[in-house]
Amino acid sequence: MVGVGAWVLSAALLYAAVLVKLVQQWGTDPTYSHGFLVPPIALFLAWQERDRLRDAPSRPSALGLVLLAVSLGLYVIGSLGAELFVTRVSLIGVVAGTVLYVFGWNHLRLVAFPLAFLVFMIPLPAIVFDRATVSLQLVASRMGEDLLRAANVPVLRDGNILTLPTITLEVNDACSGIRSLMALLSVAALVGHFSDGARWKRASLAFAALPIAIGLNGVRIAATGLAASQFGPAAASGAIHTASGWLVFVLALGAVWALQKTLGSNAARAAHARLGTV
Amino acid sequence: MKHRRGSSPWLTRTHPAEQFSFRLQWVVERMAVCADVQAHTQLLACSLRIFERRPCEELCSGTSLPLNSNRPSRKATMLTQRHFVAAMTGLALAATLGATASAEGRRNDGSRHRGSHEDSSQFVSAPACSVPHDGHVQFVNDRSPFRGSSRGAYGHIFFAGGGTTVPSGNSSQRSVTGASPSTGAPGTPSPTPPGRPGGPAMPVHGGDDPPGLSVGGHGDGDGPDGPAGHGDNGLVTGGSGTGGTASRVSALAVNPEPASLLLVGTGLGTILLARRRARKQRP
Repeated sequence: MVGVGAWVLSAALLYAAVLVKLVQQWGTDPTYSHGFLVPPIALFLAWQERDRLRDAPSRPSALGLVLLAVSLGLYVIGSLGAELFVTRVSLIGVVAGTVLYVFGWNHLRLVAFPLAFLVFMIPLPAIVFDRATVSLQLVASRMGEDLLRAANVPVLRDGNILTLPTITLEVNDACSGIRSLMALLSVAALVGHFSDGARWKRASLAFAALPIAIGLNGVRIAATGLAASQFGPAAASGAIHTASGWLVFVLALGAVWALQKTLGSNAARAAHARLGTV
Repeated sequence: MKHRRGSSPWLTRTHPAEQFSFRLQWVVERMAVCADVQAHTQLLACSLRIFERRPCEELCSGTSLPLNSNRPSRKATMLTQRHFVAAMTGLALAATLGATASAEGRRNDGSRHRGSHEDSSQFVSAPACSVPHDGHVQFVNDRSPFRGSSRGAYGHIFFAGGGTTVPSGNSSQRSVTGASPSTGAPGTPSPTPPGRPGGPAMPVHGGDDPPGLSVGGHGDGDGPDGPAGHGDNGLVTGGSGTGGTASRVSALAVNPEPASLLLVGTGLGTILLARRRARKQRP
């Protein structure tokens, strides 16, 4: 117990500045405000494994020390280079390395998902985030343009600007879909974790969140343009418009859920077929 | 073969030097017994292990070296290694902390150093570049060349929405007109009421034109309309079709997404509800 306390204290001292900045960013950046939810969820997931953790044989591995050293090295490099992402990621590596070094592979395997889930709390590096945002903006604009054309609405696109007869729509950073993409990725990972079935199915469920989120964001932009062209610019603003992002996210959740059911029912059917009970 | 602590002849010799000489003697005796090369190799390895106080289970013809009672167990050996490794971890941690503190100190020293220079510097100090807290790229005047302003990045140039229509009288050089027959004069406001699009716009490129002013073509609302002509070095203006004036009354709308906290919260709520429902359905 004393050792655990000493470890927590030293880690807290080492990462105090990093954690304070991280929490500040969650509070100020709406794209990463879900970071407040991630650590409690990860703790809950680890707590769910408490019985198996207790029963698992403890076989400490010296590889944990290597992981610990590499993570601490990353921390030093990140601190010297003022790179927040690296220093933040090193915290997860330190925790994983400690678990491996003190308890062994069995325990690390049990807490692997909660630890991996902590990645969702870490904001992406600015260079990656900006590039992803710009790409998503363009993809969403293009999709919106195509869908509006398909609906016989004349539209002219210039980059991320959609010019309609009644309104000019700007697909800006906030509506690139990056927020719903990250939120849907984390939720889909959770759904995959809780669902039964093969590992590849659960992983594919998480990765399916990517096209679903991007596609539905394009649909949202097209729907906004369509509403504006049919009912006037007022339809593209106000409470309905603000709620559209949330509604589309609920739709995306439904799509993930339907996919999970399909994969689950396929797995059940295959199991029944193997047993000859169909 | 295991030897109990009390019955082992090794334990009668408590002094380390005495024990060592006895072991060496034992090895030499065994070497005389074992004739084959393999046994010699094993014996050599084993004798080396004696110096290291490592376990040596078998020796030549299946005889065991009675070191069980004195040598550390496998677990204990691992523990010793772990202690060493733990000490190394502590050192690494200390080095990490030291390096970080040193870097921090150097940074502070540097800023102090700069500060002292600022007091006596003959150069005018310019405001330092400020980096936004969220780490995103900040464009000059908060205007992204990609994202555009209220009418798009180059909306004032390319689109009629910008209203940068140029009267034909201003055109000092050859102008490029749209592909379709135009009925309206360039720059003339369209008589068509807003909201009636003049058909999909087709860009007209005047890339081969000599430098000069290019004016977009004007359609009559039935055919494709050319929104802009592009001169190589000349001014580029947007053309307004007879039915395409709606953009002049357009308003820019942004499509905000809710905060990710709300989105993930919704997802969590859905998962909880679904799990509760699944539990209730189970017998």
